[in-house]
Amino acid sequence: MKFDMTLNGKNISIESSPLRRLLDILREDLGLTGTKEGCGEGECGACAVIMDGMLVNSCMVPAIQLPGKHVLTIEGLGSPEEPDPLQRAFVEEGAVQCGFCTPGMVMASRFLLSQNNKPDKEQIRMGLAGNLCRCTGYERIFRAVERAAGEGYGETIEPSFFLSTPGSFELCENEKNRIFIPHSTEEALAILKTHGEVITLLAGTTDIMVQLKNGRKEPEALMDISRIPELSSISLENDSLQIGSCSTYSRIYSNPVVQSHFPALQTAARLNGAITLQNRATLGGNLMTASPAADMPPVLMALGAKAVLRSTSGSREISITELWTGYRTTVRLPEEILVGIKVPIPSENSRQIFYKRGSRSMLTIARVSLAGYIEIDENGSILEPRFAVGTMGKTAFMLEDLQNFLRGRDLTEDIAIKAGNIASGSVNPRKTPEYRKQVTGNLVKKFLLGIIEERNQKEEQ
Amino acid sequence: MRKTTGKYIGSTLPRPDGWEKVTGRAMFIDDISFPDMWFGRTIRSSIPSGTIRKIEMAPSFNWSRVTVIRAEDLPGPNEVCMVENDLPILAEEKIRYCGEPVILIAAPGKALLEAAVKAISIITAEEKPLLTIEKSLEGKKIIYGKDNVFADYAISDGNPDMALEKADMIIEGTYQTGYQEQLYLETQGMIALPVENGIEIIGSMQCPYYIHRAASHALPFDPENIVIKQAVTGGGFGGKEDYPSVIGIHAALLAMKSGHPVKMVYDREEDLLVTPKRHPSLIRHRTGVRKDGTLIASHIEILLDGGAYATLSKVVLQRAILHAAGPYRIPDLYIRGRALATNTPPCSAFRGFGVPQSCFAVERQMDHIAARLGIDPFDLRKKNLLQNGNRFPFGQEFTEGENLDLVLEKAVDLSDYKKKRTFPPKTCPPSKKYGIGLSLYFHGGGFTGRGEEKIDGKAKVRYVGNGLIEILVSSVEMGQGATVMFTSLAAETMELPPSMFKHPQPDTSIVPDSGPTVASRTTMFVGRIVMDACLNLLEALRSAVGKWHKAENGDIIYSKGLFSTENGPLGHFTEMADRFLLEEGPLSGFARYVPPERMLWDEDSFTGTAYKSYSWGADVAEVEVDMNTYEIKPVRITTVVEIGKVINEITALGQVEGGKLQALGYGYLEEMKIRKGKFESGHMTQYHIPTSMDSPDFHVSIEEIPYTGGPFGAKGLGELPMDGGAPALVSAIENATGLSPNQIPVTGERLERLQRETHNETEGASRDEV
Ligand SMILES: Cc1cc2nc3c(=O)[nH]c(=O)nc-3n(C[C@H](O)[C@H](O)[C@H](O)COP(=O)(O)OP(=O)(O)OC[C@H]3O[C@@H](n4cnc5c(N)ncnc54)[C@H](O)[C@@H]3O)c2cc1C
Ligand code: FES
Ligand code: FES
Repeated sequence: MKFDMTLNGKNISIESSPLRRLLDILREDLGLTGTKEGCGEGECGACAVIMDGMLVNSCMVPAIQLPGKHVLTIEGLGSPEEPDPLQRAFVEEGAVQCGFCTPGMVMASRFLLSQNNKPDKEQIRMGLAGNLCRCTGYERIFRAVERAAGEGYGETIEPSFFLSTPGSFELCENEKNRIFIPHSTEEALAILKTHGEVITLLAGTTDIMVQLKNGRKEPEALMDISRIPELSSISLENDSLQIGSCSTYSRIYSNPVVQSHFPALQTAARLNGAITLQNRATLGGNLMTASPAADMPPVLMALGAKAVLRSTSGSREISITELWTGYRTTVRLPEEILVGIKVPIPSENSRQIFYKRGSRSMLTIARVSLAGYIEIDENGSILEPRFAVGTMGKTAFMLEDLQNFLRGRDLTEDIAIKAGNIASGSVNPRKTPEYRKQVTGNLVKKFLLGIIEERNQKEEQ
Repeated sequence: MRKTTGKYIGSTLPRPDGWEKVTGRAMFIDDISFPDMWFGRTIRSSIPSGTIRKIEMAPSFNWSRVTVIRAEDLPGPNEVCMVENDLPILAEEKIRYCGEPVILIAAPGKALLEAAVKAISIITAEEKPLLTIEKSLEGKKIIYGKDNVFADYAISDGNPDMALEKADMIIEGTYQTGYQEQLYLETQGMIALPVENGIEIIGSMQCPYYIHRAASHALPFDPENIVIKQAVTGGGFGGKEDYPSVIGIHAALLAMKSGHPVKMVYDREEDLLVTPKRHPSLIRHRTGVRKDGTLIASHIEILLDGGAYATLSKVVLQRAILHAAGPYRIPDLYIRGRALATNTPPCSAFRGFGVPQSCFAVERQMDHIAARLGIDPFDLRKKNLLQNGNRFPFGQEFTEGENLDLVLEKAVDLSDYKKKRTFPPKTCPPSKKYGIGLSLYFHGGGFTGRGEEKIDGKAKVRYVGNGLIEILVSSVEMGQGATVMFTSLAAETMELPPSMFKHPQPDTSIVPDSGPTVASRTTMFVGRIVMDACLNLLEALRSAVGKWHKAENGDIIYSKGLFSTENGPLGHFTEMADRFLLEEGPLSGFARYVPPERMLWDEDSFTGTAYKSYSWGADVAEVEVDMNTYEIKPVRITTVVEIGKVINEITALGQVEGGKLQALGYGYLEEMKIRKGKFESGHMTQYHIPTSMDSPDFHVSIEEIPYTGGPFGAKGLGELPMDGGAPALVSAIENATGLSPNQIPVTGERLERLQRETHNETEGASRDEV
């Protein structure tokens, strides 16, 4: 396909196959080798660039999503003779050693400062968590960012308003019935009606690009759904929050309603990969990949969400628990799109939690994930317990025994401890079972004990 | 801030290589291409042990479009020469590890290459592999030499068996460490270019002359027609010490046969699954102590898993043994170490080079002794420190008591260890357990024994005109700061601004062999040689200036970049040097390593001066452990190191912090899983290094007690930080949880299991009592 885009402030025309990575277009086609490849799987951030104002890993972006985009690479900042102030801070503060992570790290720092021009150290850590550095121990990088922030670097970055300009493109002959970039759900559904069987949908592509790298066969036909406004909207309707399937994690956790009513969802979105991922990865992609280790399924199950699937023949709403049929399979029909989900606004007297234990703090796949939701009436008895776990089987699932045990009981310490034991006994993961059973139980207990403690504190006051 | 010596030594001069890196202009190997360049790939065994039966090449594929090389096509000996010559360039018939190179392919494009790779299959007959150190020792199956032993050394001092009998108590411990992957952010890669009657190899590397030697051995060219050039290198940490020789030869063979430049850059998965890692170890200590905590005798046995080929295992083992007793005085002692062969990917160099393993064991053992005797770990260490006049177990006299004491005391003070050990700080959330622990360590700088004498490092500085001086050495910049270090030393020595110096990436057709960039030797040894070369250049220029001005050499004064006589200035360095080029020809200074006197090492008896100098370090780690999830979080690390002299302040701090984070990762996070001889962590979401969210707050203090043999008093630093972090961390975990892990990494899974086992044991014990 052929299309135009803006690179480092200049309009350029690109000719590329639709799944070619932005990283390769930059490095191989345009000779801009400043952007590095450390893994090709979204895991290291060496390839990070800023696209439409957002930090993304260029190894995760296929050409099909590039028409009309604005991309900023390291070459778009200063030169060795005239480095920009952030680059100067990096060198002078010792944030550069081997230099391989550096271009990506500079882009991540710039993005961070564009969002938050005076970040504290925790925020800097969080902002750089998708960018690995093996040389520095990060300390000097934090200092460089602090220094640039102190010099007012963040204020010099113009906020970017160029969100997804339509971007014209031209397809080659052999792409004409294979490549689709619809701009409305109706358009998308009409295409799916005829080509559904062979089409693979692309949203944030953070799953697909990894699969392609690891040997998945190139799909026969592609449809990019990331440009459909309806799918990216988040809105409050009739006591439930509707989240479009193409909403990225960073949009989800920045949403005020999510922040005020869905702390568990906010946590889950925040813990997904790291910022480089959160700016691309979507809710719909996470649900439809149907990986048992994914973070969104358990949290949405515990929150009692519904999934909305639509085709030209209409919409259907199903409980999210019915979305998955097995390991990486869903009930979606080829002509359907997951339009989004609806999550009921939780009642005042409810508590919710999402816990994730990976191997490290960020950029980690869950080894144990647990979401919990309970409502408690004035007398302290439990009305609506919902617990779900990921990583423990072919799909995420609800802890029915635990729910049955808790329903209607008064929440006491003794019950919390018993609940923990029941939770431990209700999961039976294949790998490191003792550990994961133990942790599951501990977390259930911790959640419930926390509620008791909170109640006790209130009573004391 | 520390005071600088002269103008640049100890300063915060920014690294000259920083500007190109931070702007994305630095050219790493994958950033370089040549016209008509092809791409190469290695096809590997998928079994750990067996024989190659047949190689099937799909007849439907048009093989004339690609180049294929098998062992029988090699133009020279099928050997990658390192310490031994046992590593084949390509497996012939026998397969000894999973991932062993069997076939090389190159193609003009990546897609075609991919197709070619898919069209080849290796048919093998699998044999039962030898997968563990224990099985290797058993010797039922022999895969190396007579007994699977790559190297076997022992040191003994006094009569430990008799002394053990006299001890009040004998404390035993078994310690295990796992694989560790260097995980340089830039994967390994090389480009080879065919040139007339020879070959040029460019790539990511630490040791240009190692590749040169290996290529000269394997390829049918005169050594002078083999040229090795370093590209900007994205981290090495030991991982690019020996393995680049393999890739270099592979790329060269493909280039020779195809007639094209060939690029071989590993993707992350290949790099993770086949390149050498840190040796796993199994170390046993038996220590005899008095009730008051005095160590009187010790028996240490070290076993390293070397993998399928010898690589550098022998040298790694030597260093592990020499550091195995820690910086403690143990009058009667026996240490034996063996490196063993297994059907697993060969292990080799990684920052620390055997010391992180033996340091982990001895430091844990010290903690166990302290716990058994009810003494604080600090007091136990303090009581048993080597004292001036003592000897190391290998006979070398110990003279740095002051240095050793300094790092320990200062780390304890700075971290407030003593108070926090009894009163945990309130900052730890109630849901977590706080712990604090320490470790003490040292690292011998430069090659072991007579290594530096064998290497006989050489350096040259050359005036190229226009006020530019090149520092010509084979020592590379790979992130560790060699360039700013050489520049500072040269600028200080020649009293010229650093901007006049350039440390180009080594090219073996131009630079003399200053040795490999390993073993924390670059500052201490090569730095010194560079200074001598600078002085020699100045001397050559001074005598020319004398000649031009008809003065005696001694009458010419050189100071602050200016030549003068008693009567007044004659001109600036640049002016004089430019005139030299015009009138006298090339202007350079050359120097070579000068061995210090009376430093003897006997490899057979393993006694004498093992290292020319030692650097010292102490860590205090503070952790928070979530006992619900078994999550370990290092929150603060205090490190005090004594390194003689800091050449560049930010580089030195960066080395300590970066190395320390690797050491912490080694302790609790980094796990290379292996199953049936196959590495399983082939992705960066499977092999985890610390992210910015996992790094603790660093409190680093660098102490200086100048060492007369080093440049401006400097000793080695590069590896030191890697040695102590893991044991301090584990000690803190023990302090937090009451559990006592003896195996690293302490993953959540391991900690939970340990809790369960410890719980069952005490339950069992109390039941017995009833
Ligand atoms: C480094 C890294 C770290 C990660 N960390 C985490 C993590 O911590 N937790 C976690 O849960 N996941 C993690 N992931 C996985 C991934 O980011 C998520 O699964 C992501 O949410 C997928 O969304 P996407 O938009 O990128 O999906 P895509 O790759 O675009 O799509 C994934 C699949 O869903 C289908 N699909 C997408 N949208 C729709 C729709 N609207 N209707 C029907 N089908 C659709 C696609 O056809 C495709 O099959 C990580 C991935 C990487 C690379
Ligand atoms: S190359 Fe590692 S994230 Fe893209
Ligand atoms: S500087 Fe080397 S990886 Fe960051």
